[in-house]
Amino acid sequence: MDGFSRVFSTSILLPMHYGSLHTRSHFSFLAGASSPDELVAQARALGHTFLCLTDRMGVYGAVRLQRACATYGLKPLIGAEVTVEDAPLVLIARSMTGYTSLCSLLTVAHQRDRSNPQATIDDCSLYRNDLICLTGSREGRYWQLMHARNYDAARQWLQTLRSVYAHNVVIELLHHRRPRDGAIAERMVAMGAEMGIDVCAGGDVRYATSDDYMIYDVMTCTREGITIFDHHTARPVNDQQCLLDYRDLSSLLPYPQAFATMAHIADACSYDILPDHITPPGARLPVGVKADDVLRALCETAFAKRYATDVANVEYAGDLLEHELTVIGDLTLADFFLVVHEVTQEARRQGIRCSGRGSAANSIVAYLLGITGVDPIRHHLLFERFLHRGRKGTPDIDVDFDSDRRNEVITWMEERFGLEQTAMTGTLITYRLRMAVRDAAKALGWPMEVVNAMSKAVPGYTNKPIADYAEELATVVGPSPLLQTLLRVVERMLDRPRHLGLHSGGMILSARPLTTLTPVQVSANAVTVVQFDKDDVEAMGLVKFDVLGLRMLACISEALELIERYEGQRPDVDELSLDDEHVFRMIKEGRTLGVFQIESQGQMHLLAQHQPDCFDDLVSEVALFRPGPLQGGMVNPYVRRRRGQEAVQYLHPDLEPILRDTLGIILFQEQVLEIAHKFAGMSLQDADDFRALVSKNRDMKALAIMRERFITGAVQRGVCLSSAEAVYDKVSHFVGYGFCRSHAAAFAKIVYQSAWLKHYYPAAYMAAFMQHRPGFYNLMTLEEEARRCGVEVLLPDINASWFRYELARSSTGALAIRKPLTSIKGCTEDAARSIIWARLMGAFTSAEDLIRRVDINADVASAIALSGALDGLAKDSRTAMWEVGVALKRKAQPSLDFDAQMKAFDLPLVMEDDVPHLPAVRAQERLAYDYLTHGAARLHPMTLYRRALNDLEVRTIATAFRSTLQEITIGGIVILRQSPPTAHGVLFVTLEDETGFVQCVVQPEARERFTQQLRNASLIIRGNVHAVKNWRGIVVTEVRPLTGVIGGYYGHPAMYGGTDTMELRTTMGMES
Amino acid sequence: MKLFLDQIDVQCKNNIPTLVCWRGGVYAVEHILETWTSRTAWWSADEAREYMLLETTNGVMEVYRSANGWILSRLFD
Repeated sequence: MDGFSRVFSTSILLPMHYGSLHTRSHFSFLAGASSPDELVAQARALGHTFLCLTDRMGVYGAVRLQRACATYGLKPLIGAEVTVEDAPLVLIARSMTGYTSLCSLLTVAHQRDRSNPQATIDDCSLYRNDLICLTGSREGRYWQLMHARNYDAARQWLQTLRSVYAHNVVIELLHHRRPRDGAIAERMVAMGAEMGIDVCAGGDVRYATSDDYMIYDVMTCTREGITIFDHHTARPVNDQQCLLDYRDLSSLLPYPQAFATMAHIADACSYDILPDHITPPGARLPVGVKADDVLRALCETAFAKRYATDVANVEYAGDLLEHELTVIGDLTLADFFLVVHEVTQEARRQGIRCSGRGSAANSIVAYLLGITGVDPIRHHLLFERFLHRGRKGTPDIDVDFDSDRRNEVITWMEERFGLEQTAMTGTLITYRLRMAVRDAAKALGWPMEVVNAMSKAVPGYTNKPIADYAEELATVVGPSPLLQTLLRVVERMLDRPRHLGLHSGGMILSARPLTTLTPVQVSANAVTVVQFDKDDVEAMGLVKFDVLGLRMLACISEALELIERYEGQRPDVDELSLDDEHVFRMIKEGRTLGVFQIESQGQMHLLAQHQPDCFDDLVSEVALFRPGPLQGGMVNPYVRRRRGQEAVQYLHPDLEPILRDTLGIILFQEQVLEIAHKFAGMSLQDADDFRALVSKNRDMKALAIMRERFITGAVQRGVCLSSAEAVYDKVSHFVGYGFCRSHAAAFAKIVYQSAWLKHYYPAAYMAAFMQHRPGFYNLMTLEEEARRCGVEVLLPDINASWFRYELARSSTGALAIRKPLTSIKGCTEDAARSIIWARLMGAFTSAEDLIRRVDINADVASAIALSGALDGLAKDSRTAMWEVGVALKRKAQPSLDFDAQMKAFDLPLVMEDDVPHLPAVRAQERLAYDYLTHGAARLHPMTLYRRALNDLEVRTIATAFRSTLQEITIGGIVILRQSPPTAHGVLFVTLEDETGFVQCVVQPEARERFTQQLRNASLIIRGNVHAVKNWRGIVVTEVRPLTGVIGGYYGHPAMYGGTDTMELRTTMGMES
Repeated sequence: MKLFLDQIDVQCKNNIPTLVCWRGGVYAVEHILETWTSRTAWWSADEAREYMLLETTNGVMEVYRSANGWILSRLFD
């Protein structure tokens, strides 16, 4: 084509196409204020026929643009503002080839410098196919040069662009009713005529309507770190960067040829980035063999092993397998299943523990391939929750991997499928209430301390109108005229994307290079990530496979390794019988600290009520303690029915087959789906949408529509209106997050495995647990739990400890846990490595020997001495500390004489006379040193004060468990404080002493009365004992601080965010 | 160029300024050189300002219309 104007040289009053060729959406992340939907809707209202989305350095909004355009009947064009040598150009894709060029160019720019991505002219030359280049708006080089009247440089720049894009370079005209906009446009038109380059009406739209200008300004202030009262070149001077109709824009830019070019560009662009098929990664197949055949063969082999002898189920299982294989074949997903199978097989081959979770566990194919470990026949799992013919996009297969080795799996996948064909899914981090209040308040000029107070005054997330928080905010800022402005701004900012994050594990595997579909950028931790979130990725036909890291799997793997090394056998926890009565007794007695999913106080309370007897009970237990069942009031009825204290009832006879095995209670997502499908007559896809909508409970409008459909559907099936309404109400209570049965079953298996290991191999299990810390209790509590299990915890020892928690034989011959060198404060893996490296040449013989042979800094050396790790080499920690101090000083500043003597006579750094006779370390000091240096004391601090507490009639926590007292006074250290939203203002405080721990329930009234006292790290609590089986809770009536009794002890790690560091203000003193 | 914030009278025909009255003088508008809009304090009650750069018999005048009438903001000699 020989230039756009050659084709459209005649003036056209109303072009065939009119729209905006240069439009930012809020996917420009703080540099655009409207969503693609809002832009397209407004464009439609103004009579546009197309919309070209050109976000900054990305095509993040492309999928949504295409969908919105399909809804409103506009033509979608995709482009981007690409920074080329420090100034933006607008590049528009003309075809899928052009789209690929754009994605490739953006990928190169992002991967070169993630914080300041930009392309070079050479990059542009490399990726220029089928791209149209607009010169850009006022930040663009051409506009700047024209504004500065530097015409020679402007011409030169146009020549440069022409050398890359030939006749596809177009001068972009714009007019935002700012000073000199008209004059600059006039000059550009003249230069275009002079150089034979077409001009077009660009737009450089930043928001749909002028109403969105305030959001744009606030976002600009957030981006630039300024306030609305600051002058800044990035801030707009008016509200005119919005979409305009043809009449307005053509009156501002009276150049018909500019509109003709616009129309031609819109006409020339054509593509569809949303295919109606998926593009799964290719499985490894022998030549000439189909994926379906390989999948069938694999399943049939495994079927024979799993079901051939299961006479009761073999026929049903066979039918189900046939059905699943047919559906998978129809959806052309065989390759996908084989690829996931390949990944899990490879992980296992490398000894990396993995376990499928989520709805994939509903599939017998996934089970037979070893992707999941839960038998869907045995657990009555519903395949349709996972996959059905009506399903849009690819199914989710989530697999948990040993968190310690997840990166190895990812690396293997990158190698297997190719770096260009693998990347992580993005996640849009959108404005939630607190973040919106924070950013808006900063932009509106409130000082930081007020901003902090304002953001604390509102919840992180809400689905209530923002005006409901006006009072809370007013109490912080007082009668400010800007408060109403803030509320208006925040309301408009909510749910808009702020930046792109990284999905927790969604790995995309593509059959072709990803840059044909999306730019690939680099995250902060050097992971490649696409520019779309999981929904957009799915819409584009890309296949995502969730590679998740689960610390409990790392814990189980490590425990098994320890068992094998120290006991000479490796139990097969994947093939346990799942019915060990000792394990269930431990669970029923609530001795579950450290057990996956059921270690919280709330779970322990539920265990006491529920008393699970079998694996199915564990599945229910896991599912019960979720926001969905908790908020829906389903827990107590279920427990009462399970224990035979309440009759099982159904709201309608049709519900019985669906809810029979959960005693008439809705516990699982599948049941919501089944009720919608079978009771309300919805299609499987609609029923699945209904389930998702109810779970999220955010879109009230959509819920109202669904309610109507549900009730109408049920009535059409012959259900009476009142029953239909009652069932809907019950189902709609299943709000918030709930588990699907398959997910609960997959997790329950890990619950059982971890409980089994804790019961039979407590030393190995607790050592692995301390290493990986998959739970939320602090180290002191874990060590106490290990002791309660009869396992001694040995201190760090410079000659016996390694990198990780290890086992060792204690003096009694039993297996004990040896704390690692890395458990010592400041002792990094590097430091530990250098110590062990030196130790391989012979054990250390003294503190001085350590300092002489290992290059470690003073802080680490001091921590090692104080931790007791040198106690075997010195008289005690104080003496070791002294020796370390002298040795470090001499090593750092050797006097000439001393150095010469040392070399001549091989003298040590510390002589005998250098160490005076020091007082022994007192018990209180010992505790303080332990806490400070390795996070847990060898003795519970409460032990030291028991005599004084006895005098005050403060009982041990164990007393609450064994006596029948109605009222009791106990004292202890606060190890947990929880006030979940579902508890309606009740505070749960877990107190621990040397005999155990107990949950104390502080009702809102008591919480208010004892606000000050409850802030203490250690408490005396008086209250009424609430007993359920082996579980005890104390309903608090009085609270006193314990610090006055126990003197110097002022804090526990749990008080400081649950880490194993603490603030210690003690009279004992800390010598340095 | 001098800065002013003087209130002035502007006579218009079809919304297009034709005469500017300022400090006792009456000046004919010969050309409208440029128009633009300014709206920076969106949070306050201030409305958008429609600026005009007028070539008059008294030189180039930058004027805008506010709620209180026309204002002369700058005069170019």
